[in-house]
Amino acid sequence: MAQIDPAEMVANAGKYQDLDGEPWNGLFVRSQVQVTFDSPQATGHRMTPFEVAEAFGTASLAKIVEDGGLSIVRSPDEPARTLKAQRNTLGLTVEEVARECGIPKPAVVAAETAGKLNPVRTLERLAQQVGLNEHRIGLGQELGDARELGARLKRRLSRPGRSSTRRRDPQDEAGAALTPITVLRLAEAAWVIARQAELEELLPIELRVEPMAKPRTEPLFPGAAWRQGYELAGRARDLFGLDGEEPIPSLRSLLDERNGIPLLALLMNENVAGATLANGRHRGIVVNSSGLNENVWIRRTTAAHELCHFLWDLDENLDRLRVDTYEDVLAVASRSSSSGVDRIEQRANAFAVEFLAPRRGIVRLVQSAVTREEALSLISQNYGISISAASNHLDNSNHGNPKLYGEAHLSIQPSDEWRASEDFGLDFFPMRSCPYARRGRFAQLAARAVGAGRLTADSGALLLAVPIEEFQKGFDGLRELDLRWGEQPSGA
Amino acid sequence: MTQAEGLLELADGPSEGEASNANRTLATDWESGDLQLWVVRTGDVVHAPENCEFGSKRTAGVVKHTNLTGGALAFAAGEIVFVGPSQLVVNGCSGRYPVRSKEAMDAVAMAFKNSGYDVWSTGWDVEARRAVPFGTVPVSRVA
Repeated sequence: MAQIDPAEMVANAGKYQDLDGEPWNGLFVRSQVQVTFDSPQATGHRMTPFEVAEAFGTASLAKIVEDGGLSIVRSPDEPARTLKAQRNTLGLTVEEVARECGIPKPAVVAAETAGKLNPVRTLERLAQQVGLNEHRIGLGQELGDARELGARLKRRLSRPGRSSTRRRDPQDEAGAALTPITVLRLAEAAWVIARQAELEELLPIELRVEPMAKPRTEPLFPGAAWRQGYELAGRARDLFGLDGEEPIPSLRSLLDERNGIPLLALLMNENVAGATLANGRHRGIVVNSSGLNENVWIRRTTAAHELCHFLWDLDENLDRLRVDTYEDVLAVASRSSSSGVDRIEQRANAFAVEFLAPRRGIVRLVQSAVTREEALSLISQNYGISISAASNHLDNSNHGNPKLYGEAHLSIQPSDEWRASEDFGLDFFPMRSCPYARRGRFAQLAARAVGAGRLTADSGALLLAVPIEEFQKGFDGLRELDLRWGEQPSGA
Repeated sequence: MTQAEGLLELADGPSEGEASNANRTLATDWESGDLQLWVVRTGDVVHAPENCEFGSKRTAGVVKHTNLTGGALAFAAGEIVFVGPSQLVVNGCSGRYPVRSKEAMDAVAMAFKNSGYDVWSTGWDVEARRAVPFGTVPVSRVA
């Protein structure tokens, strides 16, 4: 069948008619089972030709024009079978999924019952929450990656008061068992990571960001893991175009906004600091917004630690999911530390502190300091790392100043500026009911795509899991958050 | 498309009572039957197999509804599978002459039933405002 270019279809919308023979409004509508020309009486999910082509393939537009519609399920059992199977893969109950999605339990049961015609928005919301592409749930395609990641999450699932006879994940020895809510949020994060890449592709070229740093992977060297961590930190700074000393004022901006590396903030188990996820060929970083990470300097360390996994871990080391506890992330990244922390984590710890606060810069910064307290204060406030991290890193930096060794007792909290540089856009997000995982660059991309006519507002609302009215009301605010709205990407 | 090329006028089925008694269930492999297109034209109801020699010579490689009408106006069209001499499954999916409402879809299904068949229908998709295509939901018997 011939293919139709979505841009041409939009430009020539006037030559098409809807199913009533009326002039076509340029949109399609999606239900559980099909996509067809939009009409005023239709109540399904409205989509642009760009979205339909991206979701269902480039031949889909010609099929709709030719036949009046496109079937998007491969059997009457779908998408119920796929949704139920993925929930079971994650080890979750109907009640848990229903609660997290804000969908009544009977609606979830109906969605998982083969042969029932369900509201498409319910199906899409459920699919997103369990980590499935919401457009392709009926087609049984590309589910392998989501299944395997789901199985990894299930192996870490723990329910209070219930002893598990499941095989424990080898990586789970540090105790990072996950609650059902955390499993659901990580599954949602995996969906965000994959969809963020697709949203980028959906944008006009001039609105896309070409990342400076993509996963490279680097096997562990023989010898000291910390030494490799330091070296990789230097290479990463080069990749991001940072010089050997400059501080990173906003890690969120550097990674998520400027380089398209998904950096998601989630509310998770209190002992979980962060995680690195791989959903198919897409990787992303997740940090817990609760617990010790409420201190923005610790959160930066967590994010930098996960960045090491993101950039350098081999696929077999990452194995789709690495969950780090605070114990993992805050283990001393010193040359003597080794007990209880595996070498991949040692490498990531050394990487994190050196990436955020390069020793070369520290040596220069503390040249004029006369006390250890003064030196630590300078390092923390200049580079945005905690006092304890600064303390260890100072001792590893060969500064050669004997006055700077010894004990130091001081407590410094991050300034409002540090908090704002990492939190802005998350706490002040203009759509209050939007889940945390979807704020940040993902939301900006959705808004850009709506603004550029690539997504409908209906789709924008579904992507951000907010009612359409809330999306329309908050849309201008979202555009204001996107500081580079309509501008050329940096370096262009 | 002409009769010689495979166009058929819809024949009445067996009597309503006979169809009802004979077919309370639908074979699970009904979709393996030949897919045909149906059209309600101004004076008759015609049908033809989607895959036939006539269709193979067309650009699309299959018969289209407009081949059954010569491009003329028609009331409605869709797809049909004859499962046996007295049983059929029907939908109202057509690019050119789609069934446009649930009421119209119900009326079409009832018209087939009233012509003597045991009729099963895919029904109506409210969200898309289009008849449900084959292969996407279980079909229901028209009472």
